[in-house]
Amino acid sequence: MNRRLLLKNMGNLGVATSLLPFISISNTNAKNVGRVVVLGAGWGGLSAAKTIKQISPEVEVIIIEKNKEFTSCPMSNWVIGQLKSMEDITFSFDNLKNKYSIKFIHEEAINIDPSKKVIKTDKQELSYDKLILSPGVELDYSSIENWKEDSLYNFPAAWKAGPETQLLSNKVKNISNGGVVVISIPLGPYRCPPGPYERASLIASYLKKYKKNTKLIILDSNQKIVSKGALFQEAWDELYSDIIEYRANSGVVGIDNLNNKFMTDFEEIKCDVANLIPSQRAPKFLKDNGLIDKGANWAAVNPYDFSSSITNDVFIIGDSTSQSNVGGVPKSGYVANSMGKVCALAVIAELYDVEKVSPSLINTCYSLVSSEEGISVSAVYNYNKEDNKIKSIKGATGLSPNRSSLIKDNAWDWATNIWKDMLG
Amino acid sequence: MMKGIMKYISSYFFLCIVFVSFNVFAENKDFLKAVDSSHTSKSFIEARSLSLPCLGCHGQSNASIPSLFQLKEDYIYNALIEYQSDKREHYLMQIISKGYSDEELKIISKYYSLQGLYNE
Repeated sequence: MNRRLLLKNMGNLGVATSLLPFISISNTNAKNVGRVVVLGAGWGGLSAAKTIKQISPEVEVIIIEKNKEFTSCPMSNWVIGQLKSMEDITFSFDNLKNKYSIKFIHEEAINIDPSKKVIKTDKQELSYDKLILSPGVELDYSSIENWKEDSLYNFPAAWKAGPETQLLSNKVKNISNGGVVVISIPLGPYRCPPGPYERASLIASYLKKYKKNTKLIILDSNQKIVSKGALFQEAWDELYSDIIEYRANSGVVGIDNLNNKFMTDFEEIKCDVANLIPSQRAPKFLKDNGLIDKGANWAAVNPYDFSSSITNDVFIIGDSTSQSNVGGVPKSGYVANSMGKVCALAVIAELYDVEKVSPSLINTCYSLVSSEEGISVSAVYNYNKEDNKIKSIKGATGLSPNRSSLIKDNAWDWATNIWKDMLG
Repeated sequence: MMKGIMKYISSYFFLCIVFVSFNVFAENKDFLKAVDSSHTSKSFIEARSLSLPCLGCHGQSNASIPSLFQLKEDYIYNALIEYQSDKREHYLMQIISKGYSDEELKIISKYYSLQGLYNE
Protein backbone atom coordinates (compact mmCIF):
# COMPACT_ATOMS: atom_id res chain seq x y z
CA MET A 1 0.00 0.00 0.00
CA ASN A 2 1.72 3.16 -1.01
CA ARG A 3 0.81 6.74 -0.41
CA ARG A 4 -0.61 7.36 -3.86
CA LEU A 5 -2.88 4.32 -3.73
CA LEU A 6 -4.06 5.23 -0.26
CA LEU A 7 -4.83 8.75 -1.39
CA LYS A 8 -6.73 7.45 -4.39
CA ASN A 9 -8.75 5.12 -2.21
CA MET A 10 -9.45 7.83 0.30
CA GLY A 11 -10.46 10.09 -2.54
CA ASN A 12 -13.10 7.55 -3.50
CA LEU A 13 -14.62 7.87 -0.08
CA GLY A 14 -14.34 11.62 -0.08
CA VAL A 15 -12.08 11.80 2.93
CA ALA A 16 -8.95 12.76 1.08
CA THR A 17 -9.38 16.37 1.92
CA SER A 18 -9.42 15.64 5.62
CA LEU A 19 -6.26 13.58 5.38
CA LEU A 20 -4.35 15.80 3.01
CA PRO A 21 -3.05 18.29 5.52
CA PHE A 22 -1.80 15.39 7.59
CA ILE A 23 0.07 13.82 4.71
CA SER A 24 1.79 16.99 3.63
CA ILE A 25 2.23 18.46 7.09
CA SER A 26 5.69 19.65 6.43
CA ASN A 27 5.08 21.30 3.10
CA THR A 28 2.44 23.69 4.30
CA ASN A 29 4.88 26.34 5.47
CA ALA A 30 7.21 26.08 2.52
CA LYS A 31 9.70 28.74 3.44
CA ASN A 32 13.37 28.63 4.09
CA VAL A 33 13.73 28.10 7.81
CA GLY A 34 17.45 27.59 7.77
CA ARG A 35 20.47 25.77 6.44
CA VAL A 36 21.96 22.74 8.15
CA VAL A 37 25.43 21.64 7.07
CA VAL A 38 26.45 18.09 7.95
CA LEU A 39 30.09 17.02 7.90
CA GLY A 40 30.50 13.30 7.23
CA ALA A 41 28.15 10.95 5.40
CA GLY A 42 28.62 8.03 7.74
CA TRP A 43 26.06 6.49 10.05
CA GLY A 44 25.57 9.55 12.25
CA GLY A 45 25.61 12.21 9.55
CA LEU A 46 23.28 10.40 7.16
CA SER A 47 20.79 9.57 9.93
CA ALA A 48 20.69 13.20 11.04
CA ALA A 49 20.41 14.59 7.51
CA LYS A 50 17.64 12.26 6.38
CA THR A 51 15.63 12.64 9.59
CA ILE A 52 15.69 16.42 9.25
CA LYS A 53 14.59 16.28 5.61
CA GLN A 54 11.88 13.70 6.30
CA ILE A 55 10.33 15.85 9.00
CA SER A 56 11.07 19.30 7.59
CA PRO A 57 11.70 19.33 3.83
CA GLU A 58 11.88 23.12 3.95
CA VAL A 59 15.16 23.00 5.86
CA GLU A 60 18.12 23.14 3.48
CA VAL A 61 20.52 20.26 4.16
CA ILE A 62 24.03 20.07 2.71
CA ILE A 63 26.43 17.20 3.39
CA ILE A 64 30.19 17.60 3.06
CA GLU A 65 31.77 14.21 2.40
CA LYS A 66 35.03 13.26 0.69
CA ASN A 67 33.80 9.88 -0.54
CA LYS A 68 31.45 9.68 -3.50
CA GLU A 69 29.72 6.57 -2.21
CA PHE A 70 28.89 4.97 1.11
CA THR A 71 30.79 1.88 2.25
CA SER A 72 29.45 0.29 5.40
CA CYS A 73 31.81 -0.52 8.28
CA PRO A 74 29.21 -2.79 9.91
CA MET A 75 29.10 -5.98 7.80
CA SER A 76 32.59 -5.33 6.37
CA ASN A 77 33.77 -8.30 8.46
CA TRP A 78 31.45 -10.41 6.29
CA VAL A 79 33.61 -9.40 3.30
CA ILE A 80 36.81 -10.32 5.15
CA GLY A 81 35.20 -13.65 6.12
CA GLN A 82 34.39 -14.30 2.41
CA LEU A 83 30.61 -14.23 2.95
CA LYS A 84 29.88 -11.02 1.03
CA SER A 85 31.61 -8.76 -1.49
CA MET A 86 32.43 -5.05 -1.37
CA GLU A 87 29.52 -4.42 -3.78
CA ASP A 88 27.14 -5.82 -1.13
CA ILE A 89 28.17 -3.14 1.38
CA THR A 90 28.62 -0.16 -0.97
CA PHE A 91 25.78 2.22 -1.83
CA SER A 92 25.19 5.46 -3.70
CA PHE A 93 23.82 8.70 -2.23
CA ASP A 94 21.35 9.08 -5.12
CA ASN A 95 18.14 8.59 -3.11
CA LEU A 96 19.18 11.26 -0.63
CA LYS A 97 19.99 13.64 -3.49
CA ASN A 98 16.91 12.93 -5.59
CA LYS A 99 14.17 11.98 -3.12
CA TYR A 100 15.15 14.22 -0.23
CA SER A 101 16.92 17.08 -2.05
CA ILE A 102 19.99 16.75 0.13
CA LYS A 103 22.94 18.45 -1.53
CA PHE A 104 26.31 16.68 -1.47
CA ILE A 105 29.64 18.45 -1.64
CA HIS A 106 32.49 16.00 -2.15
CA GLU A 107 35.26 18.12 -0.70
CA GLU A 108 37.53 18.17 2.32
CA ALA A 109 36.55 20.35 5.29
CA ILE A 110 39.39 22.64 6.34
CA ASN A 111 38.09 24.68 9.26
CA ILE A 112 35.13 26.21 11.06
CA ASP A 113 34.61 29.84 11.97
CA PRO A 114 31.95 29.63 14.71
CA SER A 115 31.71 33.43 15.11
CA LYS A 116 30.71 33.86 11.45
CA LYS A 117 28.95 30.46 11.33
CA VAL A 118 30.95 29.38 8.32
CA ILE A 119 32.64 26.09 7.45
CA LYS A 120 35.43 26.17 4.85
CA THR A 121 36.33 23.36 2.50
CA ASP A 122 39.34 23.17 0.21
CA LYS A 123 37.22 24.88 -2.47
CA GLN A 124 34.56 27.05 -0.85
CA GLU A 125 32.97 28.66 2.21
CA LEU A 126 29.57 27.55 3.41
CA SER A 127 27.47 29.45 5.89
CA TYR A 128 25.25 27.47 8.26
CA ASP A 129 22.49 28.02 10.77
CA LYS A 130 23.27 24.69 12.42
CA LEU A 131 26.35 22.56 11.87
CA ILE A 132 26.35 18.80 12.55
CA LEU A 133 29.75 17.12 12.72
CA SER A 134 29.94 13.36 12.34
CA PRO A 135 33.54 12.80 11.29
CA GLY A 136 34.08 9.31 12.75
CA VAL A 137 37.46 8.23 14.09
CA GLU A 138 41.09 8.81 13.24
CA LEU A 139 43.52 5.89 13.38
CA ASP A 140 46.51 6.65 15.57
CA TYR A 141 49.74 4.85 14.66
CA SER A 142 51.97 7.08 16.80
CA SER A 143 52.66 4.37 19.37
CA ILE A 144 53.65 1.75 16.78
CA GLU A 145 57.40 1.62 16.37
CA ASN A 146 58.67 1.48 12.75
CA TRP A 147 55.27 2.45 11.37
CA LYS A 148 55.49 4.08 7.92
CA GLU A 149 52.88 5.10 5.36
CA ASP A 150 53.73 2.11 3.18
CA SER A 151 53.38 -0.31 6.09
CA LEU A 152 49.67 -0.33 5.29
CA TYR A 153 50.04 -2.93 2.58
CA ASN A 154 51.53 -5.51 4.95
CA PHE A 155 49.64 -4.38 8.03
CA PRO A 156 46.19 -3.17 6.91
CA ALA A 157 43.76 -2.00 9.60
CA ALA A 158 40.60 -2.42 7.51
CA TRP A 159 38.89 -0.49 10.28
CA LYS A 160 37.29 1.99 7.90
CA ALA A 161 35.52 0.03 5.22
CA GLY A 162 37.15 0.54 1.82
CA PRO A 163 40.23 -0.61 -0.10
CA GLU A 164 41.88 -2.02 3.04
CA THR A 165 38.83 -4.23 3.60
CA GLN A 166 39.28 -5.69 0.12
CA LEU A 167 43.03 -6.05 0.67
CA LEU A 168 42.62 -7.97 3.93
CA SER A 169 39.84 -10.07 2.43
CA ASN A 170 42.13 -11.08 -0.46
CA LYS A 171 44.96 -11.93 1.92
CA VAL A 172 42.70 -14.19 3.97
CA LYS A 173 41.38 -15.87 0.84
CA ASN A 174 44.85 -16.54 -0.53
CA ILE A 175 46.60 -17.70 2.63
CA SER A 176 48.51 -20.96 2.21
CA ASN A 177 47.88 -24.07 4.25
CA GLY A 178 49.87 -23.84 7.48
CA GLY A 179 49.74 -20.03 7.45
CA VAL A 180 49.35 -17.75 10.47
CA VAL A 181 46.90 -14.84 10.70
CA VAL A 182 47.49 -12.31 13.49
CA ILE A 183 44.99 -9.66 14.60
CA SER A 184 46.11 -6.85 16.88
CA ILE A 185 43.41 -5.13 18.98
CA PRO A 186 43.93 -1.68 20.55
CA LEU A 187 42.94 -0.51 24.00
CA GLY A 188 39.40 0.84 24.21
CA PRO A 189 37.63 3.03 23.49
CA TYR A 190 37.68 2.21 19.81
CA ARG A 191 35.01 1.99 17.10
CA CYS A 192 32.81 -1.13 17.30
CA PRO A 193 33.86 -2.95 20.51
CA PRO A 194 32.89 -6.49 19.38
CA GLY A 195 34.21 -5.92 15.82
CA PRO A 196 37.71 -7.39 16.20
CA TYR A 197 36.37 -10.54 17.86
CA GLU A 198 33.74 -11.01 15.17
CA ARG A 199 36.47 -10.59 12.56
CA ALA A 200 38.61 -13.21 14.29
CA SER A 201 35.61 -15.58 14.40
CA LEU A 202 34.79 -15.16 10.71
CA ILE A 203 38.40 -15.60 9.59
CA ALA A 204 38.67 -18.72 11.79
CA SER A 205 35.41 -20.01 10.34
CA TYR A 206 36.82 -19.63 6.81
CA LEU A 207 40.19 -21.18 7.69
CA LYS A 208 38.49 -24.15 9.34
CA LYS A 209 36.49 -24.87 6.21
CA TYR A 210 39.00 -24.22 3.44
CA LYS A 211 42.59 -24.31 4.77
CA LYS A 212 44.72 -26.86 6.58
CA ASN A 213 46.84 -26.38 9.71
CA THR A 214 46.35 -22.63 9.84
CA LYS A 215 46.42 -20.58 13.04
CA LEU A 216 44.83 -17.31 14.11
CA ILE A 217 46.54 -15.43 16.92
CA ILE A 218 44.70 -12.56 18.63
CA LEU A 219 46.97 -10.01 20.32
CA ASP A 220 44.63 -8.02 22.54
CA SER A 221 45.85 -4.87 24.32
CA ASN A 222 42.90 -5.27 26.67
CA GLN A 223 42.77 -7.49 29.75
CA LYS A 224 39.95 -9.54 28.32
CA ILE A 225 37.52 -9.70 25.40
CA VAL A 226 35.93 -6.24 25.44
CA SER A 227 32.40 -7.16 24.35
CA LYS A 228 30.23 -10.31 24.45
CA GLY A 229 33.20 -12.08 26.06
CA ALA A 230 31.51 -15.24 27.32
CA LEU A 231 29.65 -15.80 24.04
CA PHE A 232 32.76 -15.36 21.88
CA GLN A 233 34.86 -17.53 24.19
CA GLU A 234 32.27 -20.31 24.17
CA ALA A 235 32.11 -20.28 20.36
CA TRP A 236 35.90 -20.27 20.05
CA ASP A 237 36.28 -23.17 22.52
CA GLU A 238 33.66 -25.23 20.74
CA LEU A 239 34.43 -24.37 17.12
CA TYR A 240 38.03 -23.21 16.80
CA SER A 241 40.01 -24.68 19.73
CA ASP A 242 42.72 -25.83 17.31
CA ILE A 243 42.80 -22.54 15.33
CA ILE A 244 42.35 -19.50 17.62
CA GLU A 245 44.95 -18.52 20.20
CA TYR A 246 43.79 -15.58 22.33
CA ARG A 247 46.40 -13.55 24.21
CA ALA A 248 45.16 -10.86 26.60
CA ASN A 249 47.35 -7.91 27.69
CA SER A 250 49.40 -8.28 24.50
CA GLY A 251 49.42 -4.88 22.86
CA VAL A 252 51.49 -4.51 19.71
CA VAL A 253 54.23 -1.90 20.26
CA GLY A 254 56.04 -2.18 16.95
CA ILE A 255 56.32 -3.88 13.60
CA ASP A 256 59.11 -5.37 11.53
CA ASN A 257 58.32 -4.27 7.98
CA LEU A 258 60.94 -6.49 6.32
CA ASN A 259 60.10 -9.74 8.06
CA ASN A 260 56.37 -9.14 8.54
CA LYS A 261 56.47 -9.42 12.32
CA PHE A 262 54.45 -7.94 15.15
CA MET A 263 56.33 -6.95 18.30
CA THR A 264 54.76 -6.93 21.74
CA ASP A 265 56.58 -6.26 25.01
CA PHE A 266 57.14 -9.97 25.34
CA GLU A 267 57.62 -11.51 21.90
CA GLU A 268 57.96 -11.20 18.13
CA ILE A 269 55.38 -12.96 16.01
CA LYS A 270 55.79 -13.76 12.32
CA CYS A 271 52.58 -13.26 10.35
CA ASP A 272 51.45 -14.51 6.97
CA VAL A 273 48.45 -12.21 7.22
CA ALA A 274 48.67 -9.29 9.69
CA ASN A 275 45.75 -7.08 10.69
CA LEU A 276 46.87 -4.13 12.77
CA ILE A 277 43.90 -2.29 14.29
CA PRO A 278 45.51 0.77 15.88
CA SER A 279 44.33 3.05 18.69
CA GLN A 280 41.66 5.56 17.81
CA ARG A 281 40.64 9.11 18.63
CA ALA A 282 38.45 11.87 17.27
CA PRO A 283 39.79 13.34 14.00
CA LYS A 284 42.38 16.12 14.21
CA PHE A 285 39.89 18.45 12.50
CA LEU A 286 37.88 18.60 15.73
CA LYS A 287 40.96 19.31 17.84
CA ASP A 288 42.21 21.99 15.42
CA ASN A 289 38.84 23.71 15.69
CA GLY A 290 38.87 23.72 19.47
CA LEU A 291 36.04 21.20 19.84
CA ILE A 292 37.99 18.82 22.08
CA ASP A 293 38.91 19.66 25.66
CA LYS A 294 42.61 19.96 26.43
CA GLY A 295 44.22 16.57 27.01
CA ALA A 296 41.15 14.70 25.77
CA ASN A 297 40.92 12.45 22.70
CA TRP A 298 37.18 12.76 22.03
CA ALA A 299 34.78 15.63 21.40
CA ALA A 300 33.01 17.35 24.28
CA VAL A 301 29.21 17.35 23.90
CA ASN A 302 26.06 17.89 25.94
CA PRO A 303 24.37 14.50 26.21
CA TYR A 304 20.85 15.93 26.07
CA ASP A 305 21.06 16.95 22.42
CA PHE A 306 24.70 16.30 21.32
CA SER A 307 25.39 19.99 20.97
CA SER A 308 29.03 20.90 21.39
CA SER A 309 29.74 21.92 24.97
CA ILE A 310 32.29 24.39 23.59
CA THR A 311 30.66 26.15 20.59
CA ASN A 312 27.09 27.31 19.85
CA ASP A 313 25.05 25.99 16.92
CA VAL A 314 27.45 23.07 16.46
CA PHE A 315 26.44 19.46 17.14
CA ILE A 316 28.76 16.46 17.26
CA ILE A 317 27.53 12.88 16.91
CA GLY A 318 28.80 9.37 16.38
CA ASP A 319 32.11 7.74 17.22
CA SER A 320 34.03 10.98 17.76
CA THR A 321 32.03 11.95 20.87
CA SER A 322 33.49 11.58 24.34
CA GLN A 323 32.03 8.79 26.45
CA SER A 324 33.00 10.67 29.57
CA ASN A 325 30.56 13.40 28.44
CA VAL A 326 27.86 11.30 26.82
CA GLY A 327 27.88 8.31 29.15
CA GLY A 328 28.51 4.64 28.55
CA VAL A 329 27.18 4.23 25.03
CA PRO A 330 29.35 2.16 22.70
CA LYS A 331 30.87 3.54 19.51
CA SER A 332 28.60 1.54 17.24
CA GLY A 333 26.74 2.11 13.98
CA TYR A 334 23.38 1.69 15.66
CA VAL A 335 24.25 4.28 18.32
CA ALA A 336 25.48 6.73 15.66
CA ASN A 337 22.14 6.23 13.86
CA SER A 338 20.24 6.90 17.12
CA MET A 339 22.43 9.91 17.95
CA GLY A 340 21.76 11.29 14.46
CA LYS A 341 18.02 11.11 15.08
CA VAL A 342 18.26 12.71 18.54
CA CYS A 343 20.40 15.50 17.09
CA ALA A 344 18.03 15.96 14.11
CA LEU A 345 15.06 16.44 16.44
CA ALA A 346 17.07 18.88 18.57
CA VAL A 347 18.11 20.87 15.49
CA ILE A 348 14.49 21.04 14.31
CA ALA A 349 13.39 22.12 17.78
CA GLU A 350 15.98 24.93 17.70
CA LEU A 351 15.10 26.04 14.17
CA TYR A 352 11.40 26.22 15.02
CA ASP A 353 12.00 27.49 18.52
CA VAL A 354 10.14 24.76 20.38
CA GLU A 355 11.07 22.83 23.49
CA LYS A 356 13.44 19.88 23.03
CA VAL A 357 12.39 16.42 24.18
CA SER A 358 14.43 14.06 26.32
CA PRO A 359 16.55 11.78 24.12
CA SER A 360 15.87 8.08 23.64
CA LEU A 361 18.40 5.74 22.01
CA ILE A 362 18.77 2.08 21.15
CA ASN A 363 21.85 0.01 20.49
CA THR A 364 21.98 -3.46 19.05
CA CYS A 365 25.22 -5.03 17.87
CA TYR A 366 24.97 -8.32 16.04
CA SER A 367 28.18 -10.30 15.59
CA LEU A 368 28.74 -13.51 13.71
CA VAL A 369 30.73 -16.21 15.48
CA SER A 370 30.84 -18.37 12.36
CA SER A 371 29.57 -18.31 8.79
CA GLU A 372 26.35 -19.83 10.16
CA GLU A 373 25.63 -18.32 13.59
CA GLY A 374 25.47 -14.98 15.36
CA ILE A 375 25.22 -13.43 18.83
CA SER A 376 23.97 -10.01 19.94
CA VAL A 377 24.06 -7.35 22.61
CA SER A 378 21.31 -4.74 23.05
CA ALA A 379 20.37 -1.82 25.25
CA VAL A 380 17.89 1.03 25.49
CA TYR A 381 19.22 4.36 26.75
CA ASN A 382 17.72 7.59 27.97
CA TYR A 383 18.87 10.79 29.60
CA ASN A 384 19.61 10.74 33.32
CA LYS A 385 19.12 14.22 34.71
CA GLU A 386 20.99 13.76 38.01
CA ASP A 387 24.17 12.57 36.30
CA ASN A 388 23.69 14.61 33.12
CA LYS A 389 24.52 11.50 31.09
CA ILE A 390 22.93 9.08 28.67
CA LYS A 391 22.46 5.84 30.62
CA SER A 392 21.22 2.39 29.82
CA ILE A 393 17.84 1.68 31.40
CA LYS A 394 17.88 -0.84 34.20
CA GLY A 395 16.78 -4.26 32.96
CA ALA A 396 16.91 -3.16 29.34
CA THR A 397 20.43 -4.25 28.54
CA GLY A 398 21.83 -7.67 27.80
CA LEU A 399 23.18 -10.37 25.53
CA SER A 400 21.52 -13.03 23.46
CA PRO A 401 21.44 -16.17 25.63
CA ASN A 402 23.34 -18.17 23.01
CA ARG A 403 24.46 -18.22 19.40
CA SER A 404 21.97 -19.07 16.66
CA SER A 405 21.32 -19.05 12.94
CA LEU A 406 18.29 -16.78 13.55
CA ILE A 407 20.65 -14.10 14.86
CA LYS A 408 22.76 -14.44 11.71
CA ASP A 409 19.65 -13.88 9.58
CA ASN A 410 18.60 -10.96 11.79
CA ALA A 411 22.07 -9.45 11.46
CA TRP A 412 21.90 -9.20 7.68
CA ASP A 413 18.27 -8.03 7.72
CA TRP A 414 19.16 -5.41 10.33
CA ALA A 415 21.91 -4.12 8.08
CA THR A 416 19.63 -4.04 5.04
CA ASN A 417 17.00 -2.14 7.04
CA ILE A 418 19.27 0.38 8.63
CA TRP A 419 21.08 1.08 5.33
CA LYS A 420 17.68 1.84 3.88
CA ASP A 421 16.78 3.90 6.94
CA MET A 422 19.79 6.12 6.21
CA LEU A 423 20.09 5.94 2.43
CA GLY A 424 16.73 4.74 1.09
CA MET B 1 -10.17 -19.23 -12.29
CA MET B 2 -7.00 -17.99 -10.53
CA LYS B 3 -7.58 -14.54 -11.94
CA GLY B 4 -11.07 -14.50 -10.49
CA ILE B 5 -9.79 -15.49 -7.08
CA MET B 6 -7.03 -12.87 -7.20
CA LYS B 7 -9.53 -10.22 -8.18
CA TYR B 8 -11.76 -11.24 -5.29
CA ILE B 9 -8.85 -11.20 -2.85
CA SER B 10 -7.57 -7.83 -4.03
CA SER B 11 -10.96 -6.15 -3.81
CA TYR B 12 -11.44 -7.66 -0.35
CA PHE B 13 -7.99 -6.42 0.61
CA PHE B 14 -8.82 -2.98 -0.70
CA LEU B 15 -12.03 -2.78 1.28
CA CYS B 16 -10.27 -3.94 4.43
CA ILE B 17 -7.62 -1.27 4.09
CA VAL B 18 -10.16 1.45 3.47
CA PHE B 19 -12.13 0.24 6.47
CA VAL B 20 -9.08 0.06 8.73
CA SER B 21 -7.74 3.40 7.50
CA PHE B 22 -11.03 5.10 8.10
CA ASN B 23 -11.46 3.52 11.50
CA VAL B 24 -7.97 4.33 12.66
CA PHE B 25 -8.37 7.85 11.45
CA ALA B 26 -11.61 8.33 13.33
CA GLU B 27 -10.37 6.69 16.52
CA ASN B 28 -7.15 8.60 16.60
CA LYS B 29 -8.37 11.97 15.61
CA ASP B 30 -7.05 13.59 18.76
CA PHE B 31 -3.66 12.02 18.47
CA LEU B 32 -3.49 12.90 14.79
CA LYS B 33 -4.52 16.40 15.57
CA ALA B 34 -1.71 16.69 18.08
CA VAL B 35 0.75 15.18 15.65
CA ASP B 36 -0.69 17.01 12.72
CA SER B 37 -0.94 20.52 14.07
CA SER B 38 2.65 21.06 13.09
CA HIS B 39 5.89 19.14 13.02
CA THR B 40 7.11 21.61 15.57
CA SER B 41 4.63 20.45 18.19
CA LYS B 42 6.13 18.76 21.22
CA SER B 43 3.96 15.64 21.02
CA PHE B 44 5.03 15.07 17.45
CA ILE B 45 8.70 15.34 18.31
CA GLU B 46 8.17 13.18 21.41
CA ALA B 47 6.50 10.39 19.42
CA ARG B 48 9.32 10.49 16.89
CA SER B 49 11.99 10.60 19.58
CA LEU B 50 10.73 7.35 21.13
CA SER B 51 9.85 5.59 17.89
CA LEU B 52 12.60 6.41 15.40
CA PRO B 53 15.30 4.24 17.03
CA CYS B 54 13.15 1.11 16.40
CA LEU B 55 13.56 1.68 12.65
CA GLY B 56 17.17 0.52 12.88
CA CYS B 57 15.83 -3.05 12.79
CA HIS B 58 12.15 -2.72 11.87
CA GLY B 59 11.99 -1.26 8.39
CA GLN B 60 9.58 -1.76 5.53
CA SER B 61 10.64 -5.27 4.62
CA ASN B 62 9.38 -8.38 6.36
CA ALA B 63 12.38 -10.68 6.12
CA SER B 64 13.50 -12.21 9.43
CA ILE B 65 12.57 -9.01 11.32
CA PRO B 66 8.92 -7.97 10.99
CA SER B 67 7.94 -4.53 9.78
CA LEU B 68 5.84 -2.53 12.24
CA PHE B 69 4.18 -0.49 9.53
CA GLN B 70 0.48 -1.18 9.17
CA LEU B 71 0.30 -3.42 12.22
CA LYS B 72 -2.58 -2.59 14.52
CA GLU B 73 -1.88 -0.53 17.57
CA ASP B 74 -3.28 -3.17 19.97
CA TYR B 75 -1.23 -5.88 18.34
CA ILE B 76 2.04 -3.94 18.71
CA TYR B 77 1.24 -2.88 22.27
CA ASN B 78 0.23 -6.36 23.43
CA ALA B 79 3.31 -7.92 21.89
CA LEU B 80 5.55 -5.38 23.63
CA ILE B 81 3.82 -5.95 26.98
CA GLU B 82 4.22 -9.71 26.59
CA TYR B 83 7.93 -9.32 25.84
CA GLN B 84 8.28 -6.97 28.79
CA SER B 85 6.72 -9.50 31.20
CA ASP B 86 8.65 -12.39 29.60
CA LYS B 87 5.43 -14.10 28.55
CA ARG B 88 6.64 -14.02 24.98
CA GLU B 89 10.15 -15.18 24.13
CA HIS B 90 12.61 -13.39 21.94
CA TYR B 91 16.34 -13.12 22.59
CA LEU B 92 16.33 -9.39 21.86
CA MET B 93 12.82 -7.96 22.26
CA GLN B 94 12.64 -9.19 25.88
CA ILE B 95 15.54 -6.81 26.53
CA ILE B 96 14.43 -3.84 24.39
CA SER B 97 10.81 -3.83 25.63
CA LYS B 98 11.98 -3.31 29.23
CA GLY B 99 13.43 0.06 28.25
CA TYR B 100 10.05 1.79 28.08
CA SER B 101 7.23 2.73 30.45
CA ASP B 102 3.69 1.64 29.72
CA GLU B 103 2.88 5.14 28.48
CA GLU B 104 5.90 5.10 26.16
CA LEU B 105 4.96 1.71 24.74
CA LYS B 106 1.51 3.11 23.96
CA ILE B 107 2.99 6.08 22.13
CA ILE B 108 5.31 3.81 20.11
CA SER B 109 2.45 1.41 19.25
CA LYS B 110 0.23 4.25 18.12
CA TYR B 111 3.01 5.86 16.14
CA TYR B 112 3.69 2.74 14.07
CA SER B 113 0.04 1.83 13.59
CA LEU B 114 -0.44 5.29 12.06
CA GLN B 115 2.79 5.45 10.12
CA GLY B 116 1.67 2.66 7.84
CA LEU B 117 -1.12 4.85 6.58
CA TYR B 118 1.00 7.48 5.01
CA ASN B 119 4.50 6.12 4.67
CA GLU B 120 5.54 4.84 1.30
